[in-house]
Amino acid sequence: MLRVSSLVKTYDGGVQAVRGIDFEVAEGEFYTLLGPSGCGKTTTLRCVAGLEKPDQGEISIGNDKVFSSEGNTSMPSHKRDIGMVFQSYAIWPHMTVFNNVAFPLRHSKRKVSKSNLRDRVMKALSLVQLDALADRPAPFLSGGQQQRVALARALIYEPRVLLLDEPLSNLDAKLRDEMRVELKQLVNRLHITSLYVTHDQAEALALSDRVAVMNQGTIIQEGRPREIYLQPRDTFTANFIGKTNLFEGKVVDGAQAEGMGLVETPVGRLICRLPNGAQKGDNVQIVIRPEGVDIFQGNPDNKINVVEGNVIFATFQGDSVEYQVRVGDYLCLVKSDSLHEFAKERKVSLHFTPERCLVIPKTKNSVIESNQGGLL
Amino acid sequence: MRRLFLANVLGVTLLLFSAAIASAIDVPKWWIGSKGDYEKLVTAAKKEGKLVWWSHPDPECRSLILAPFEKRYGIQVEHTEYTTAQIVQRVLIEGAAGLYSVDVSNLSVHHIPRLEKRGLIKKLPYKQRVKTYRDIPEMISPNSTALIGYTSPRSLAYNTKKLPNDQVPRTYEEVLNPKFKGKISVDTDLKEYIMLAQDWGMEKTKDYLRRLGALKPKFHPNNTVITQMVAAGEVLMAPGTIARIPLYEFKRKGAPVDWRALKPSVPLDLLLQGVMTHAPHPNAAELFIYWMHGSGEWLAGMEKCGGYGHAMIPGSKLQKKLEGVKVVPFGWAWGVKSAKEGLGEQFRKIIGAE
Amino acid sequence: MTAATDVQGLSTGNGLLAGYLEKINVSRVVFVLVMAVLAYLMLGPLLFLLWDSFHPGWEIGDETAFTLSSYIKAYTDKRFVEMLVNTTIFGLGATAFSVGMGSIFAWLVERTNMPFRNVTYALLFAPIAIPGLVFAISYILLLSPDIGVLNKILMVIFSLEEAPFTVYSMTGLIFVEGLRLTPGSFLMMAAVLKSMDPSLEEAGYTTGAGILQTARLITAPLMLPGILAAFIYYFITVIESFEIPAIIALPMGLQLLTTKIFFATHTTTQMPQYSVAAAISVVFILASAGLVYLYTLSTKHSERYTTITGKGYRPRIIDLGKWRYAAVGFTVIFFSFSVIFPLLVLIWGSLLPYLQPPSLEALEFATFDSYLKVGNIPKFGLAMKNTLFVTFTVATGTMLLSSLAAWFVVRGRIRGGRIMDLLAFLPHAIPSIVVAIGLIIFYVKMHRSLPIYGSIWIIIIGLLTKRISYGSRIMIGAMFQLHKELEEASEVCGVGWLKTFFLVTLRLLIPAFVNGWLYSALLSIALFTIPVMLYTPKSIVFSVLIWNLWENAKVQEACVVGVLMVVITFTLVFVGQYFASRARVQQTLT
Repeated sequence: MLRVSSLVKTYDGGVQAVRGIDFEVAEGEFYTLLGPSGCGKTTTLRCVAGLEKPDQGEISIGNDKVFSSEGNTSMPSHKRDIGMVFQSYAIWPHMTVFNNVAFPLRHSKRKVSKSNLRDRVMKALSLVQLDALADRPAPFLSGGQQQRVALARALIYEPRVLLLDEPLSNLDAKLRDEMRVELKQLVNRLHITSLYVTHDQAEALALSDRVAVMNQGTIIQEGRPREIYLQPRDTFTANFIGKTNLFEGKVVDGAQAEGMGLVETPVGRLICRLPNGAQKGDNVQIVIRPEGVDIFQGNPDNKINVVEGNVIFATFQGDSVEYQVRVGDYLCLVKSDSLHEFAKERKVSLHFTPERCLVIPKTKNSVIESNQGGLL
Repeated sequence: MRRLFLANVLGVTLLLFSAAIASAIDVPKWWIGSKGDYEKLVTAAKKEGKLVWWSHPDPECRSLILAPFEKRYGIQVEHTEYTTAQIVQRVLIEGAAGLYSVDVSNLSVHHIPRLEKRGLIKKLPYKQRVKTYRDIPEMISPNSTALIGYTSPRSLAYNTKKLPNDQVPRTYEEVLNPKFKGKISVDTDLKEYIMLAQDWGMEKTKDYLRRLGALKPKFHPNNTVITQMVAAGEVLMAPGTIARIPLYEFKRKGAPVDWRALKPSVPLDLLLQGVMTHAPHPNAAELFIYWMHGSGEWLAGMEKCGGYGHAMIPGSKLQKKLEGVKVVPFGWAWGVKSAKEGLGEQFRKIIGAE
Repeated sequence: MTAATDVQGLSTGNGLLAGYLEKINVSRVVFVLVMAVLAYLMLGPLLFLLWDSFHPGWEIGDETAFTLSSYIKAYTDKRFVEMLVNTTIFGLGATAFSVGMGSIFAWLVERTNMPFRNVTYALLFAPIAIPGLVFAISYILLLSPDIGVLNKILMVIFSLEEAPFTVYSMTGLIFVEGLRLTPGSFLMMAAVLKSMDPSLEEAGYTTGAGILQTARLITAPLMLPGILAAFIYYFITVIESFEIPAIIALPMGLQLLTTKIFFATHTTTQMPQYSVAAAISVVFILASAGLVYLYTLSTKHSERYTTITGKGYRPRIIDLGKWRYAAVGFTVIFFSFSVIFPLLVLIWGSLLPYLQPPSLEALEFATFDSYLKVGNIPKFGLAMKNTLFVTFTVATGTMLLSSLAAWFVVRGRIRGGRIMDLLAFLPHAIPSIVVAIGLIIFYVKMHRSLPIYGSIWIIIIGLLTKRISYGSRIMIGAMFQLHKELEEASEVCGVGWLKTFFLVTLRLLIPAFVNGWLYSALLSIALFTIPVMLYTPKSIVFSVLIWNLWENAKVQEACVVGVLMVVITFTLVFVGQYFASRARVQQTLT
């Protein structure tokens, strides 16, 4: 339904926001561009919307080539038949809720009859549960309500593609969670092709059929949420999607069974899942999610992948407890069941589940955020 | 055949009719040219039916001055108020582009050679056509391209309430009394001193301006403002004020202002009227300018209206008013020379206004 | 299939015309149109100015050889340094005064709960309509050391030997000019404030900062780009304005740039030297281009200041508490000087045969005659009709062009926005009289193909040329505050650029549009330099009528027309205010 290929966008002043990205969104698919601010995800979205003009590449929606640097075509926004929800909602403050939603039908080329108009607006509003507030002036809505108006306005004319630019980022946490669920249900129900932009990995994982992780203007990894989370292909993705423990290491023995191998790390030798073609002597990085580490006291029966450390900090989170455990010079993040609690300064043992110790080739992408374990 | 006959009858009738009109024209006494010339001029002027006049008298005066002409000849005068500077600039610009919209213009002395050089102002046989112009030849410009429409003497306006009669200066020297320091208004154009320099000589004039400047006069940009300041008592007096509108107007309305001709001499500014070479209504314009001082109607209207007058015409109100005073009219050559040398600017620097 | 239905079926993309139309980018077409109109209006005067400054010969009907004499004349003078210093002091002083006052009132009217805010708003406009000459003279009657009524009163009350104030001083000059320019800068600052996010100020209060502290530490810095724009604009206005200096600076013999221009162009004893004024203006323009460039640098990151977002925008009113009364007191004092005193003098003048200091004995002469006879003023009805036509056309044209230009300058998706900005601004630095002469020359030459010389349209074009600088300042300031996503939301949902511009952009900027419209309208009524140079009997307007009445010492009649102009002003302001506030109410309240 939506295809973007070799997209390049450089802003005045030489900032290269998008450096040649390709992706395709199938009909009815919910596709997310995920990345830190400045990674080019919003620029990409705005290029799709026709609000920015790319320097190179091609964008097709359905069978229409809406942009092509080679064909020198650039269809203006209003002809692309898309819907968009903006980060600021962009609800027009001089209109009522009804008029905001009716606007696309009234003033675009897709005119409808008066009675039909009312029906469709009310239907769109009831879709987002705002039918009771139709006559309220737009500025007198709460953030969540405005969000819904924006959504109704974008959906009312059933666009070919729905573009969403961090629509939930301005809501408070609870409302965000609620809207996330609602949005997911709505999108599933309408089976609308959606391109979603966010920097919130939880949102991306929860909503998307597929996610593209972006950094510095390129797509680093693309896949289903599960793949992205469980099998990050590089440290950036690993770091960006959820909390993670990251160790430097060297492959000691690549010939273990079922793709497993032995890796020398600063916390000791660990049996890990090796990528194809990993050779003995390779410098690698090991990614272990906090929930892939077991924490317990006393000596285990099996000494494989077990190290000892001291609890530095424990955070009770209700459904779980998150520990920071010092192992040698390293700080390990551990997430465990909230049933037990290990007090600060307690000596504990950590078990790194071999299947969850993921080895990835060393890349230039260095540590970017602090939500991971690492060097003290 | 029949059509041709009708046309003939019509043609003959028309001919007879127009001949009847022509013979009905009375040649006025002031016309000293041939009767035929007058008849021809009037007929052609009437045919044109209107003329465009750029000048600056009051729109209220317009009817007083123009009504007799319009009534007598059935020619409508379209009048626009522009300053002489505006007029000459427009005439030059239009002339350069070959566009001509004005017939008769009000001008200053130094404009005449400019327009003559560009061939934009028409030489007319004033002295051969009109008695007044023959009798007072100094009314006509040296090349017979313009005539003096009216004259404005410039001398002392003073506040009658704040300045007791016995203290009102009688001479230019008395104006320089130190007690008037800061209480004198001076027009920034300093035209009166440019004219007076003809009589006083440059040295004396410059010296006078230096001494006047030492009294810290207040400089004002236009005649109404000056008269206004005198009337309101902001200054006690203003030498160089035009004895016309607005002084006449304020005095008539009861303002404590009056005017006096200072000794030894009163400068007389000249406002000229000339017909444009490419006038769209040349005959009406020519008739208008002959009529102007040929008939007494123009002067009568002028005098009724805001104190305009003509000091060169014997028996006129202004001439009587200035009787016994030495009048210094703006000389044709001096006007041009002083403009060329930028005398106004030089004088402003001396007195300290610029 | 007709062409029209073809257009309807654009998305199908069939048909030659449809394909062609599809390629047309409406915003680009409008950009080219606006650029063309601006270039047509602005380049003429600018090029004429440049040419004239090097070719003064034509002015006296001579050959037009190249010469630097005008520059030499303008810039070599033994009092040149003195003039420059005076002009700078006057310019900075009056600008600081008017922009400062304008900002204070903008804040009081837009942000606080000061009582009588609507009246304040309306009264702020009044000085514009009072003819400049009368405004200046009223200050002679009030503050002259010899006849000033205020001085006399103070001398009696405090038994002083000498008059405590004099209008004949640099301070007096700055004060009167500043008073006169405050309405315009008020509007500029109001446009900025109106759309500034109050939550930023609220954040200030929550940190415990007081009202004044917040105003100083948060509001003022956020308004800085707006303040800077107003400052640059008014600095140029001040150094070019002549009405007040003519009555207050000339008498002192104070040397200013504007008096220099006056002496060069209004001389009766030699041919006017527009080229000297032009030579002065060329340097003006270079200086203002530099200032404008500085200004653009300061507004480069102005998106930070964006305030009308789609997140709901509700200006919050600050409770001044007890300070409300202090604010009212301050306002009353200010208005006494800027409006009430000059207005009383104007009314006084309309009752008396000539202007004189207010006194009981003068009251005997008072008569309403001139009001009853106002219809007898020649051409009064025609002037009224023309004035209304010119005012509406100029104000509407100015604001439409300015709004479109502002969009291209601020949104700037198309290169050339900056050029448009300069083009709209620079004519501000050309003296009106030079603009008028330039227009005469241009349209006399063009007369055969475009006969508007001598018609009312040449006046409209002249006024438009001078007004767009102000209109574009106002609209650029306002446009900066409008979040672009509001427009994008409309385009994305299928509404074309032009429709979006009118339905969303302009609609949301109505308050600024109305303010700019009013100010442009009022100045078109009040300023006379351009109409006086360009009018014909058929195209006479009020300002020319007043000027001619004044020249012919019909001071009383001139004052009556002045009073009428004030009445028209108030009517316009109240109507405008009604529309603006209705627009705002719909935006914010039910």
